[in-house]
Amino acid sequence: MNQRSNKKIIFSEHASDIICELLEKYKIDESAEQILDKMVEEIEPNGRKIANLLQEIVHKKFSKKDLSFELAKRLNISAKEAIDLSKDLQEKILFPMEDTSSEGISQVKEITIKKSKDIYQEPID
Amino acid sequence: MNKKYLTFFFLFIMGVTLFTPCYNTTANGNLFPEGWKEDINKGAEGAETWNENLSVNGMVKWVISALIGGVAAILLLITQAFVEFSQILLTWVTSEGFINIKFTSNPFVDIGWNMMRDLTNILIVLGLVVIALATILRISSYQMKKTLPLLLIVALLVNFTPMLCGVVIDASNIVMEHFLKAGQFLAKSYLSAMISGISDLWSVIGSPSSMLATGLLLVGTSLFSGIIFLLYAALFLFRYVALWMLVIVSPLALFCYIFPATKKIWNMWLSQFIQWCFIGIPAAFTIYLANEMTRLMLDGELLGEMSSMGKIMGYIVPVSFLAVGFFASLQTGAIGASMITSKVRQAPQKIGGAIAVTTGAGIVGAARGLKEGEGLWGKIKGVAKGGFTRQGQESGRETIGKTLEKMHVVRPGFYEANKKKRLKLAEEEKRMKELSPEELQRISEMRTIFPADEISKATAVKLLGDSGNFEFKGSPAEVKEKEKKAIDLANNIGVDLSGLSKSRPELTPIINSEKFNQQLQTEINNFQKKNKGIPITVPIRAEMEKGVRRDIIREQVRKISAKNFTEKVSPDSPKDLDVLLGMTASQIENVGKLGSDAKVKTIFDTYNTNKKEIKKEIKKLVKDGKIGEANKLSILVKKINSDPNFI
Repeated sequence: MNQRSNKKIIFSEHASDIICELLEKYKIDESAEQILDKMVEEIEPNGRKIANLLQEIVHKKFSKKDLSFELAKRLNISAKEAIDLSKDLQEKILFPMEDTSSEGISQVKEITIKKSKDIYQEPID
Repeated sequence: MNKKYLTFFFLFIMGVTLFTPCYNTTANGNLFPEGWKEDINKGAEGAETWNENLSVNGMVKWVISALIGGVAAILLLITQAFVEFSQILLTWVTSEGFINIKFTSNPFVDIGWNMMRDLTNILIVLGLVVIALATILRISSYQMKKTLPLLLIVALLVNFTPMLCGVVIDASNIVMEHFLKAGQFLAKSYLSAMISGISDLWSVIGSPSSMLATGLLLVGTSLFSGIIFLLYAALFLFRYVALWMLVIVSPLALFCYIFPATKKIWNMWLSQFIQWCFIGIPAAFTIYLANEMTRLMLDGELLGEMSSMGKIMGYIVPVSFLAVGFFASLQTGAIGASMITSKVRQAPQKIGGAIAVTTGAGIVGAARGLKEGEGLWGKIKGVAKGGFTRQGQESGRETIGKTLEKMHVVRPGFYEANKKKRLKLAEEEKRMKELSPEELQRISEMRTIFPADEISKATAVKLLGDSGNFEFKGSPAEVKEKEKKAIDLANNIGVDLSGLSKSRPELTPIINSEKFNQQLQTEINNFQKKNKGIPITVPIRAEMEKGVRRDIIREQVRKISAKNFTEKVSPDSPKDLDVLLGMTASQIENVGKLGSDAKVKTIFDTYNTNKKEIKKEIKKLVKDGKIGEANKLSILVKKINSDPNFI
């Protein structure tokens, strides 16, 4: 995972678009005005709820297994919808993050190996 | 210019103008317009003239005339002091007692000449050795054999070069001094003669236009005379120095005569020596003739009966004669003289141009100040600021330059290019580029005294803006004031602040204040068209200003690429709601992923604390029919709301 600082974990720049699409898919999306109205009333809009949930997962406040349960509870959706949404979120946001991080690690290793080569060694041919 | 100085200057001018008319009218024998007694005695007809003189129109004209007279009197005092200084310098330089040492034999010429002679002797010995070796080795040519007698003659003559030079110098000096002695009256008395000739010009307060014409003519004549006298003084002074130098190098120059390859150096020296010796003769002759001309004029034989204005024009004649003589003298082609020629030829153009441009710019600036000032006091302040401050004059220059560009008299971009060249901004930027942000901050906050300080300060503002370090310390109000002052100064100097607009987009309305004012005026006009009869109250105007500011910032923010917004925009910029409202979806995505923690937090905080204002803005945009903008803002809200990078 990319890290901006020691504490914060960075999501893909497309994460917000994916969340918006999923909100529409599960028909829990809100207009900008609704979002702002909720914020004025100090109620978390649905998009923010999901964003915060993802943050909590990457910070290990709870495991991925509990995601569907948390989604059903916070978004007030059915268990089936929560499970599907959880799958979508993991598939589209959380898994790509892990892949990226593993690629990143392998790249770092490769560079380390290359650097450890004796650059003064005479070529065999 | 500092407000304090401006107020002082204005009061000073007022003070002078209050006394000047009294002086002038009492010099005429009365405080009222000429012929007032006759007017009164004429009865009804005379009373009309009297009333006209005492009417508001007459009083206004009188005050303007007095004001022009006051300014002209100050300028005349300065320029006449300049003429006096030039005259004293010329008299001193051309007097017998100026330098009591000889041209060819004095302590420092002796030192230099001895060294040159010794060096030449060494070279002569080396030359002899070369010829001897060539002869022994039988490789000598006819040319080499021909060189030997010359070498021997030069070896003998190098010891007598001061004497040989002295003969030529003395010959030229005898003729020159004859003319200068006969022409000393001019250098000593021109100014006093001129002042006596023009004194009656100031005795009556005429119409504003005649006062302006008189003032300009007097100041111009004095300045012109002063420059010409100064140039003559410089010419005679340089003649001394040039001849000393030529005498010092004379042994070496003579040695150069021996060899064909170096003969051109000798020719050059000889030409310069002759020219510098005799350059003084035509110059002195012109002074002699101009002197005679002035004398005839004072005796009333040259001009005859004419007006005071005509007399002034008459005094330009001998000075013009001197100017022509001066340039003719320089035609001799002496190296130093040609250097003066180039500078001098440019000087009247530059000085004249500078005076014309500054005066023109001042007048245009004053007119703009008059137009823009609100209320009587505002208009007076506007005229003073526009006419006399650097800022006002620059504004006038800009108007003139841009108008000429529009008229296709000059090429587009002439004003900007000329301004950069005039102020040497590029050099200043190059010089200051290595300074640390802290040092630049210090310069940007320093108090300016000289124009050069202002240029440094403006350049510091530019560099801080480019590097994203344009930040001041203090309370928000203090910071705001400091920022505005620094930007205004940089704008007046003509520094390019596009870098600052990129790193601090919220400052764009101040940076591009002209655009802001134009758009505001358009808004006001539109409002007045739609709501005829409804006055623009303070809250309405404030709302309009807010809208225009938002539009300008939005436009600027959208010009910045997502990458540049993340990297170059100050982390504090999104504290300004208008910056946040102008952001694009890609900028939000980029900052969320790659931006600093501080910038991400600032955006999220601004979003959270201004939700009501954002909602109001969406509604306003819909109401105004700006559906596209409303949609963009809605997308922005959704983006920030659902982006897990924003916490």
